[in-house]
Amino acid sequence: MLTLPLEACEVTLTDQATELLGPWRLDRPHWKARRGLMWIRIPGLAEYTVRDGRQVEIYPLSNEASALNLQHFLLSTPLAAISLQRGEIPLHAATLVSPDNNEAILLCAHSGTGKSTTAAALCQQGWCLMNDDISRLSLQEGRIQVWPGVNQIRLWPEACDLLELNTEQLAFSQGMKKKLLWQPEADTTPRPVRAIIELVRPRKEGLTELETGWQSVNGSAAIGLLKLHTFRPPLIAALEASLSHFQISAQLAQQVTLERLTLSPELTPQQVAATIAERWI
Amino acid sequence: MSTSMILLASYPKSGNTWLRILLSNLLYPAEAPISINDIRVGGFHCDRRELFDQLAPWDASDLTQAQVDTFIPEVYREALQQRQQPVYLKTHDKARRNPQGEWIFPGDCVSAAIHIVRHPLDVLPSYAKHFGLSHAEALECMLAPEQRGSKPLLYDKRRLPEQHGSWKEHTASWQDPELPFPVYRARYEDLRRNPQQEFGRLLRAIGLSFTEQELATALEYSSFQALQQQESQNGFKERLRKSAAPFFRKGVIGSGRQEVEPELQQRLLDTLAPELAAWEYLSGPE
Repeated sequence: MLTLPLEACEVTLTDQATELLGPWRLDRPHWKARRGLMWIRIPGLAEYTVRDGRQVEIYPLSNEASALNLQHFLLSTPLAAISLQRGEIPLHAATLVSPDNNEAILLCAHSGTGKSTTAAALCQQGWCLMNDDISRLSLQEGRIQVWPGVNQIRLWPEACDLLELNTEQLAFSQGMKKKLLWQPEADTTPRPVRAIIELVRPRKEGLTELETGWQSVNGSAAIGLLKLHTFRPPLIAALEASLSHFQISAQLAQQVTLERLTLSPELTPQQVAATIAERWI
Repeated sequence: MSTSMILLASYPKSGNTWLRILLSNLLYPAEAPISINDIRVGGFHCDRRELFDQLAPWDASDLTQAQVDTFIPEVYREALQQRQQPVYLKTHDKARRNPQGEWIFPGDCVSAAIHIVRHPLDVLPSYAKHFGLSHAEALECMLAPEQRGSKPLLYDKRRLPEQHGSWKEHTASWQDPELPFPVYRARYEDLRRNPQQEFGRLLRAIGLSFTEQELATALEYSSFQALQQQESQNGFKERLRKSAAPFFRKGVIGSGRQEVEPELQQRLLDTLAPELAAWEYLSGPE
């Protein structure tokens, strides 16, 4: 039941708290990390210990912690830690495959911008979903590749309304907040990355044409963007993954198109999806 | 800790944005008059989910409010380590402790707070318009938000949800004698009537230095008419999209008397009578 979407990783439940000694590069009450090791607690639910990119121990803090809930949080920060420990970049991004080619487009955005909603709108227009929230990037024979992961989209009820999804047929996501799970057509094949798009939606209305639209992100700005959108940026240094992160970022900046799409706040998810499809199909 | 925060605290629609604009005009005179869409003070982005999600161990959208409160002090500490200058944080949250007993605004992160209180009868119509509610719904939120059920207020998904609580809870929370930092208070009505003196007192209390002329100039750039004019010309990005009125709506002392239905006025005044008396509001905003 408790699984991660990657090879060669053991997930075990334990009935004893893991005793760990410092020193730590990241040392906070609920979160500690150093090279090869991360410990993290979600109060009232569980503690997760992640080792060497291949082992996770879960210590439930409550008898009421359901397997589904433990799995939900396993797919968050612990998955990102494993990815960094393996020398990958866990990008906070959705991955989609366009209808007419085999390359992947990644959408990253700050929380609340509408990344998942846009991904869902693209799926309604024929794209396939490879990842919703964390997209693992690695170098394979010199090429940047994205790996398939969780292919369900978690949507706020308001987003479901905008997408005209029948919420009565959708299950609630696990976790503490009630998002809904929508399962579009999935793609489960590792693929080369064609482009990474950062979605930006300023709060100000009535933006001019010059303030919206596509903008290339190159060089050091591209590397900064990749660091900014890495899932849990403090883990990069804490797990001593800075070098591998930089190496992949530098290759990404050379091989992959990185663009920022600044959206007018008035645009619907369908219009945003059409804008992306027009450029990238 | 390399620097610290100064909190700008108030119940919603009680003059907080006015204070932030005034501070911006005072602290950045070369850029005055400051655009209301580029307020320089108070937007320390700790209320943004994006910052929380980058610095906390888990995504805010996966957490309960109590769990978010657990991690908030850590987020402030981390965010402040990246700053060189003192930062101002606007907040409509009630002051409170998290389940571990720690103040969500911890004493080692905060050097002082300014707390503005406005007569709740004047807050009511403005609050209603801001959140797209009827006066009766807004009164329910202001008196007993826990009875409102699951219907949420119209918040921006990019921000952490505010826990401002009832007007009574909120106001009392910022008067808690155990708060681990000094709190300097003012009534909105006194700030409107005598801004030079009252703002001067507050801003000097938090350690700012300025001349009377500099404050007068900043006040002129921050006048309600000037802000209304900016909003009518350029819009205001902090206005909620479903809001039923301009953000800078009236700002008039006593407007609640004219706008709110008499039975709702009476209920509010009866329910909050002890608190109103304590703040020297006798029968209404005057």
